[in-house]
Amino acid sequence: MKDKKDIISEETKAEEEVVTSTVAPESTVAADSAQSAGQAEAVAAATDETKDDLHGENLTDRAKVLSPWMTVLKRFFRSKLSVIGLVTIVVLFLFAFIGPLCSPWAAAGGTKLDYNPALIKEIISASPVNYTVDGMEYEALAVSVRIPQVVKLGDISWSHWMGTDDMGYDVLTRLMYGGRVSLTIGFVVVIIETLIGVVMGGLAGYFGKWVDNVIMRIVDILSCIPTLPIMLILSVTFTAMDLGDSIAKLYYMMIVLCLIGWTGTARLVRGQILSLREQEFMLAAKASGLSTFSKIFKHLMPNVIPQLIVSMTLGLGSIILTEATLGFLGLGAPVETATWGNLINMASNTTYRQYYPNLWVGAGVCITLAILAFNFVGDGLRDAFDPKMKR
Amino acid sequence: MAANKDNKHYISRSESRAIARENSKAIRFYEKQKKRKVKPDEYTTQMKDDKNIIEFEDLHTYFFSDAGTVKAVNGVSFSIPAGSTVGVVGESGCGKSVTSLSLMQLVQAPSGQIVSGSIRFKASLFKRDEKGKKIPVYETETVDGEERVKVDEKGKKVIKKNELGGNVYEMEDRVVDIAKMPTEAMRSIRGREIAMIFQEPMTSLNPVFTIGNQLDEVGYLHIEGISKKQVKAHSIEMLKMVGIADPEGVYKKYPHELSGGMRQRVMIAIALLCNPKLIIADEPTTALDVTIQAQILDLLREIKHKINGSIMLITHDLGVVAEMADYVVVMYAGRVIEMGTAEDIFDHPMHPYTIGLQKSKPTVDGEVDKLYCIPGFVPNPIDMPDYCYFRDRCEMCKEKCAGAYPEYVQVSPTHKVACYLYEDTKEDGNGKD
Amino acid sequence: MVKYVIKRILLALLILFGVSVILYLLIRLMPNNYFVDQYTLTRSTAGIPAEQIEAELAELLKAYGLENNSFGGILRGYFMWLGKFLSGDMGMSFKYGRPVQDVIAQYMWLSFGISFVALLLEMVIAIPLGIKCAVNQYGKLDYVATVLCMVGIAFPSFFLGNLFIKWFAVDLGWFETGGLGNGFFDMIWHLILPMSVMVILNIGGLMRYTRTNTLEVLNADYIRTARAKGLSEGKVVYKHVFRNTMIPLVTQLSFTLPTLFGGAMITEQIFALPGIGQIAYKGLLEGDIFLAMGYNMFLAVLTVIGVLLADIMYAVVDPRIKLGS
Repeated sequence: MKDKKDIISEETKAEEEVVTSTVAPESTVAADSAQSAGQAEAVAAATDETKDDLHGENLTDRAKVLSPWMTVLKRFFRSKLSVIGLVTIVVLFLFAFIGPLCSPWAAAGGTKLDYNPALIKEIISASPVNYTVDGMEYEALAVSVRIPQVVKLGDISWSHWMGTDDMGYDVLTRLMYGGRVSLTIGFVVVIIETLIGVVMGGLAGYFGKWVDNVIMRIVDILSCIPTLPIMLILSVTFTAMDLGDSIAKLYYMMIVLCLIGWTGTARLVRGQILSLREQEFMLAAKASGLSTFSKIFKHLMPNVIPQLIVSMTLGLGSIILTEATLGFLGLGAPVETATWGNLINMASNTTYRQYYPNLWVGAGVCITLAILAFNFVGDGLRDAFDPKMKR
Repeated sequence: MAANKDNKHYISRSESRAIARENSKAIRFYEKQKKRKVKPDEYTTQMKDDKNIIEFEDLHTYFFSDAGTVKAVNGVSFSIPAGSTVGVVGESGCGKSVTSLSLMQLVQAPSGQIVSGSIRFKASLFKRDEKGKKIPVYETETVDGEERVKVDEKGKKVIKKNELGGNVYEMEDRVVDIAKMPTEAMRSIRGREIAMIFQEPMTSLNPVFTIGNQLDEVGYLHIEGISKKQVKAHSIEMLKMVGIADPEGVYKKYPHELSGGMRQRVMIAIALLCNPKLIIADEPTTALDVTIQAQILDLLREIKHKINGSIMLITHDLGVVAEMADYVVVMYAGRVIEMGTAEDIFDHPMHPYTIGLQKSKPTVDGEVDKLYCIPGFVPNPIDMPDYCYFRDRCEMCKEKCAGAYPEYVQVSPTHKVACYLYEDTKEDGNGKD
Repeated sequence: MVKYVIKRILLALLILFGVSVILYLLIRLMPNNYFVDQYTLTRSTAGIPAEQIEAELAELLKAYGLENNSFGGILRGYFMWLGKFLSGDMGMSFKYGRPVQDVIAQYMWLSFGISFVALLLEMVIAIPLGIKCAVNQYGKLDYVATVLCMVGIAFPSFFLGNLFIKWFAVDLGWFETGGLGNGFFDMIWHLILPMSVMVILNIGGLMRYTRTNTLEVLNADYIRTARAKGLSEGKVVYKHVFRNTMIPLVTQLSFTLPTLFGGAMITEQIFALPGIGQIAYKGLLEGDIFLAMGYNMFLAVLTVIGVLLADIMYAVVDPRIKLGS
């Protein structure tokens, strides 16, 4: 959608329940001279022939100076689904980042094990023992203790709202920590891959010729590589390479996800730039002698940003899904790390799947909710940015 | 909307919710109206004047939009005499297209609905028996001096065929009120009795079907019992009639293979296929270049004679109206502000808006420094003032104009205008003619 | 037209070449001894004497240039693999003890069968539903169907699959937890759960796509023309709207080619179906590098063909499109 800078006329399009804005990209629809009635009409006719009977009048009277972002927000909040999505995301974030602070089982860097207090007996007996080794006499204290009993696979109870897992960790707290990792991975990967995509797509679209050719062929190649199998192979490879620090594997996986994930964004940015280059206002920019730099940033980027935001939001859901899939296959983050994917991996064990649904259903619900919420918000944003941009 | 009174642009959330609620209620009501099953008697009426083929009376067509109810057509009354061309002029957004779409019941549903008023049309409909079936006319033969219905070898009665090869059914003339007709019944009028030509020939034809397919479709639909060969022959005949040089070739082509002018000709051929009584031409030449415009207008004039029908020509181009129309209706902001014969409007324009329109038309001979331009804007359709809609832009405004919306003034037997300026010249008589 | 297709095929070959280079490099990142260890382990569990394994290994390493992990060695190895690949030899899958092409050919058909039936079901449900929703935009059905579709899209396959197994197979005992069973009808019985998982997951996307496209078409001028002709609403929708909606749909369906033949890795894994997806998954896990390479190339080829097919289909369904112009 084109940028709406000065005048956003708002009027409702008959059956669409969305607000169509009649917009001249980057230019001013001067609504204060008589001629502009005709001009406005022309724009209206160009954008929507079927409704031309409503456009002309509206544009003038209801024209208002409202920042484009405000208009978008207003439209966004009008859709119930978008609001539901946004609320869900906020709740998930609070759950993941604030939740552990309220949990008695949270500990620095992870979840506390639950020791059954009835079974923890520190020292049962202690008696001094003397013994000699190689002629030297030693004195030691013989201590006998009972090994603390961890509450494994505990039932749902007041102290463990979702029970404990096979290691004795509180499932609810693990779920919160898992959310931290999963959401962070989602955001970091999406931001990085969008950056790569914007740069590559921008280069291809702006310079064209061989730069475009090379970059687009790379895009073609990368988008032909099947993501899941490749992630599997790499996961196996990373495990086999024995990277030492277990969390390092997670970082490598994220890097790989970024490296293969940018192609969509690049295509989008390139396509946008190519189509915008053809439009009149770029010619106008050229005619007014603007430099290459300001041409790109002042004119092209504002046109691309709405689409980028939408694709990023929708991308978040898919990254979370990929992470979870790898986790489910036991190939994502190391098992000790709590991620939603690793938690749902419990379902691979038939016993756990059948008799301890508390271990994995929570994670599944969280993943589904997160993807659903990001999709709702992404859809809502897309409609808000441009009611006509449908796909 | 109250929100607009003080020129505020926002509609608050609660207001917007209230609007949405009202709208969905209204839309549900009118959609139900269109879907209901009624006996033809319910929408049968009488013409006010038997010479007319169409009579609009106090037609209101609204769009129930999120920002409020848009009164696109707000009390329009005029009529189309049989065999004449009526031009409807006005700037974009004055409701002229919506008026014509109302006549076809094609207003963008569900938000656009005919709310009240009537559109009377002298239709010839199929006579139907108690079960709602068409009553065929059978072929008769005289055997032994006795006339009786012809039967074929299987003993079935032979239905009479018309010159195109379609079945002949018993017809009846009936005046219907299109505004009250259910959509189901309206369909036998669309395309058969009233045909429409649209503004955009480039997008008005379905891109994935051949021209032939799109022509034949109408034939199969409205001429029952016609054979494949006959439909094709008839379609090609129509293409020839609209001046297409290679009708067989065009018949097989897809719309994208034709130029704009050719496509508009095809649209006209589709419209002509069933010999309609009325052709609505909604800005038929706006999207075409000037030389083609003239050709299409000539064609329209020619076919009007051929089919002996009427044309309702919608345009914002005064030149086109001057050339084509017998009667002219000037619309402004959803209302008719002046109507009369072409001479009335062009030689003696009365309403300040009509005068302004004439002045803003570029002329070749007149030496003007600057093209005239009517000042100001059309009022917001959601929040129409209750005084004359043109008052704020009017240069001849008088004190009285602050009052209610002006009544029509009959300035001559054929000429009516809604303006306070001519109140004194009022003549007797209410009818248009 | 022919020229265009040839050009596209040449381009496709270039892309496939690039894909194979990247895949090979990634696979060779695997530490060398991992492959050797895995090979020895798998073969010895298969009961093959140690000497024979060693001989096999030596031969393999030499034939495929696997013994040298330097850059030059990998490069040489790649070209050796490429030569064999081009002659139709995709290497030996040590996990299954057979040539990779045979493994793929054998297990592909089950995956194809399942995916194909699932796709048919999706189309039969999603396309009419999408059109219906678009025609009654903002109606009750539209709202409910849209929300349900979004939920369907959001469900991860492994979550839904496990839930289904727990509820329908174990708790209620209606269906089987996995495997194929014996005989045709038993097999269908076994396949109901995995198939419904696949349908539920994919139906949403297809339905929404149909819906948006139909909405776009419904607003077109030619639909108004069709109504002005006096056509019934059914005829307008199922002739004029549908043909135009099909254009993007057919294109979209061409892109499903890789999933159609390549198998649903996760679903097959959960329901223990011996499709190509699960077979490949197991192979990948055990470092079966030839299977990994072969399977990924198989998918890449399918993707490329899918894209090409989409282009050609576009020209077939849409008379406005002429290939190459």
